Amino acid sequence: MLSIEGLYKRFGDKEVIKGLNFHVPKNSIYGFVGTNGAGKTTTMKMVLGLLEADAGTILVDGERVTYGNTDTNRGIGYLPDVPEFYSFLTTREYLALCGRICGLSDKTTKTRAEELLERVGLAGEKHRIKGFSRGMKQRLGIAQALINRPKLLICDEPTSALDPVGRKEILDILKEVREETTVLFSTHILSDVERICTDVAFLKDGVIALEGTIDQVRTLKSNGEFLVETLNPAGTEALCAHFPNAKVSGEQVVTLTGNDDEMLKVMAFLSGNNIPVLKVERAETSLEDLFMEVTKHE
Amino acid sequence: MNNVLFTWIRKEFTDSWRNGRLIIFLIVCFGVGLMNPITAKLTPMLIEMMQDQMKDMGIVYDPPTITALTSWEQFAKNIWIPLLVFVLMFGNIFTKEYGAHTLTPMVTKGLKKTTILWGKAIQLILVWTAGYAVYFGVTLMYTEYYWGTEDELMRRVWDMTAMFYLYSLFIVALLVFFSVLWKEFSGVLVSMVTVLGLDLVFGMFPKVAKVLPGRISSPGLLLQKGYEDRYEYAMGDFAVPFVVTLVVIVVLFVLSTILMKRKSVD
Amino acid sequence: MMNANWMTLTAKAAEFEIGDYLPLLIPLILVQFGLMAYALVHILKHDHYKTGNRVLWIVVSCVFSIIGPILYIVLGKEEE
Repeated sequence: MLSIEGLYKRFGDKEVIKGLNFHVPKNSIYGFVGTNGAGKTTTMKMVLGLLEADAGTILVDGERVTYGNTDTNRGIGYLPDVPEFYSFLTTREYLALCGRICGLSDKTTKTRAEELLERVGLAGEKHRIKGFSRGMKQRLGIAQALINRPKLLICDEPTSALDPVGRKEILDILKEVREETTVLFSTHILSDVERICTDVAFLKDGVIALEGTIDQVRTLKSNGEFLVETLNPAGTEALCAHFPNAKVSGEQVVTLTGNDDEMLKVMAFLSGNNIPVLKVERAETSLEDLFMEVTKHE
Repeated sequence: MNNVLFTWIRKEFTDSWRNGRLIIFLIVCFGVGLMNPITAKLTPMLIEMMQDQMKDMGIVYDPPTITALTSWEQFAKNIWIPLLVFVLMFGNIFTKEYGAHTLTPMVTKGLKKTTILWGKAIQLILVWTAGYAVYFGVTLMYTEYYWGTEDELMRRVWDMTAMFYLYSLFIVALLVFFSVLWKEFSGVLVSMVTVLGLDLVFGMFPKVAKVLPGRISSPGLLLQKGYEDRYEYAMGDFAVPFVVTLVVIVVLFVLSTILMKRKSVD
Repeated sequence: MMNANWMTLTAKAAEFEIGDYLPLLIPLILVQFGLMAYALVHILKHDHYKTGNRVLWIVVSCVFSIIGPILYIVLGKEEE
């Protein structure tokens, strides 16, 4: 859907994007993760033709993006990090304006606007946009971005300024729209990515440090560790005595390394010796840990 | 008519109507227009009062007769007020959108930057024209009611009204041009004041003054005594700066359109 | 001195036909008080201004006829 190759951008003598490559597959929810100031917004603005790239190509559905009035924008919906609308219009008037700019007929715009307002939970809002809360503006932002049924929806940190309830609402909406469009969203909140994304890329120092589907990325770092938490200290001692590679890693928690066979052996040992356990689980590296590892400074 | 451009202009008018700026501006134009015949009407009263004092000091002079000319002289003198109010009230229609980032969703939907430029420029011209018409209309109505303007004077009134209208379009063109160039309204204002200041400075050299737009900024000249016999000459005198101003306006709009395409508006 | 001036002025005004002035004075008063009322209502409804403060703008709007409210609208009134 979106592919970026060899993208460079510098502001003054500061090089922000240094040869960025990544591909957003169709119908994915693509999490674009990076610390503040990593160049996420810069990248997105270049995709939208709002900023001029120094080098590199950006293809949206096979069409090349150019700076200025780019035609590729017809297929893109954009939700800026802090969306601002004309406060003197009502939501319906604003969407009508957007529809006309997209070249939709008034009738199409009207039905589409009602449908979207319903979806983002603003259908009952008859007042002018003046006085809308951050969350409401964010939801209206999604509605305006989707008015022309874009093939690609780009959201710049859609959840970072919201409270947990508002964040959940936005994430649910993004999850829903996946059926009709591809979503690219930037964030620094890893739990959001874990909640809805199918693909993820970590941006660090102007390049992609890690890219892949969520499952790929997760297993990448998992090195076959598993944890056993016993109910009493005696169990812990017995485990350590029997398995030489067992390490006590917490109160009544033992970490073991090995493949599935090893894990089965441990479980057989536990049941054979009547050792009561709280849980046996595979250690999965969380995205959080992964992110910290990828972005840490050497 | 371009559908998107029309939509855009309608959005601009919705803004100025709902914010109350449009109606306030027209009321101000009405009020200032009203001041012209009022001042003319009150002049005899004030002069007579002055005379009482003068007499005490031993000075005697004939009170001037008040005619339509007095009212039109006031019109020419106060013509700057509606224009100044206009620039201050409507001058930020570009810069306030840059600052508020409200154009970003529009541009990313495919709204052309030149459409933004022309929509706003047309809105500025329409609003100013309406205000100027109110200012002129009120003065005309009352002047006709009280004194009546003879044909010869009326011809000059039309000439000076048209002349200053072109000058005001020059101001609007400057406003648009600098609004494309700068992000902040303060920058726009400083640039405009600088240009008008330069116009004034160069206006002090008679040779250059004859071609500068500033020449047509004082329409009252056309009413001055002594111009009766030199009327045709006077019009010839203003023809060159008139054409120069017209050319400058066109050039400013063309430059604005070219620069706007490269401008970052988000 | 000032007082005497105003009395003469009033006397002079009485000598003139007051009806002659009405077509001018009525709209003038309407504009004057309309603008003033608009400015005052706006000043009292808002507590943030582009420049100046509430007291300043109330005084300016009331003291300077027509110009005062214009000054407020141009320099004091905040964009929505």
